Amino acid sequence: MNNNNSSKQILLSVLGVAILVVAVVGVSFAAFTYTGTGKVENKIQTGTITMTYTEKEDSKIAIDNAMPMSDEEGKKLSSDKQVFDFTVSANITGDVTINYAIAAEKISVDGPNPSQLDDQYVRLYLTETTKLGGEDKEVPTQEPKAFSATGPDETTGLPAGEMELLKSTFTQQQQGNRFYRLRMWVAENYVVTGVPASYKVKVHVYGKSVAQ
Amino acid sequence: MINNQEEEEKKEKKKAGNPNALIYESILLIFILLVSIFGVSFAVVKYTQTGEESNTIRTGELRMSYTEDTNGIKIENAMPMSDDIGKKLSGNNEFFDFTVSTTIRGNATLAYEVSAEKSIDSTLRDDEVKLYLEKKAGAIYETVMNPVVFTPLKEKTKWGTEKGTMLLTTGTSTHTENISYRLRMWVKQDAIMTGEERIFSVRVNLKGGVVVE
Repeated sequence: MNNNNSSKQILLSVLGVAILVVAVVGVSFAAFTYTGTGKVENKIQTGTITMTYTEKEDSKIAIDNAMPMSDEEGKKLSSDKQVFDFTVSANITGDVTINYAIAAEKISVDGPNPSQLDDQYVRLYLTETTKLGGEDKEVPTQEPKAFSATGPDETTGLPAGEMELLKSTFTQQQQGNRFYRLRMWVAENYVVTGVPASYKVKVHVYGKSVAQ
Repeated sequence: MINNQEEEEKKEKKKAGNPNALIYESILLIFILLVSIFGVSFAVVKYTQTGEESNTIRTGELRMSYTEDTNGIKIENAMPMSDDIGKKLSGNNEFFDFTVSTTIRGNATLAYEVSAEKSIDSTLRDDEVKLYLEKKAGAIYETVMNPVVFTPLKEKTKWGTEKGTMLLTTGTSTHTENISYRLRMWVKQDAIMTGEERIFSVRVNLKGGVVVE
């Protein structure tokens, strides 16, 4: 019993001395380290881009028993169901340019008269309503044209197979609402037969911001 | 005979009953060992001669500091931009200059790490923002980190740069010097803008220490 106690005491003493040696030697190798914490906040805050396409309620082209007509006549169509009105809007904060395209997508004809009118016999005509001299005036964006697929266009996102009716831009300085009217008629060179034919399009708007 | 036996027994008992003696002997042995390791000698003959020369040691000096030289990046209404444009941002508050300074007297090497710590209120994603770092070399700036999206560390580094921050650059210094850096940050070219303002904010930190060889 006494021998055990003696051994323990010896062991403790040796351990104590060893710790002392390590502490003395160890202090001489203390490392230099540094931490510098930044105070300046580096911050970027994005601008905003909102673009919308709105179809005027109850506005659409639905012409039955359409007969061929000249472009001069077609451009003057104005009654209900003869014109399609819609709005393209953009709200921008920040220095950016948005390229956008108004496009017509040809839709397959179905129903009791599935015969599709050929592209060359249809005229599409787009105008923009602007305020001129305090009055709303329609300004043509281009001359009446037959449907012709012009896509794709990388600058606007216009896909393949659709026809570009108009290409334009919005910027922070030129943003807001733009009002458009689409007209569509049977070209005067179409020969009416005993087989009725139809033609359908949908309007889409594509926009893409231009990276600086 | 009996007396001899008794005396022997007495000696044994004395030895067993005096454990402290053993401890003292052990300590003394260890002390002798240490003394012999550190080379102190116990001259038997005492001799004294007073020296005239002062033999001095002066410790070296190690210092590191981080200084923010400009007000930092503060861009509003930021829109996506190409790297070519971003790298050239030079307007007021479109870049951030800072300096790492080292003071070294003696033979030592200091190592350092510069990192960007993202603010928790950032709403832009890491992959929607690019960071770009240059170092001043004479009168011009050279690229040290090409434009790259914010890339957080997966674990803490040796020098203590925290997991989740982005390591911008590392360096070493063996002499007293000032190392100037310029940081730029922009919205990545193909980031999608929405009708909502979003932000991205970072602070630059420095960690470092002496390289022990």
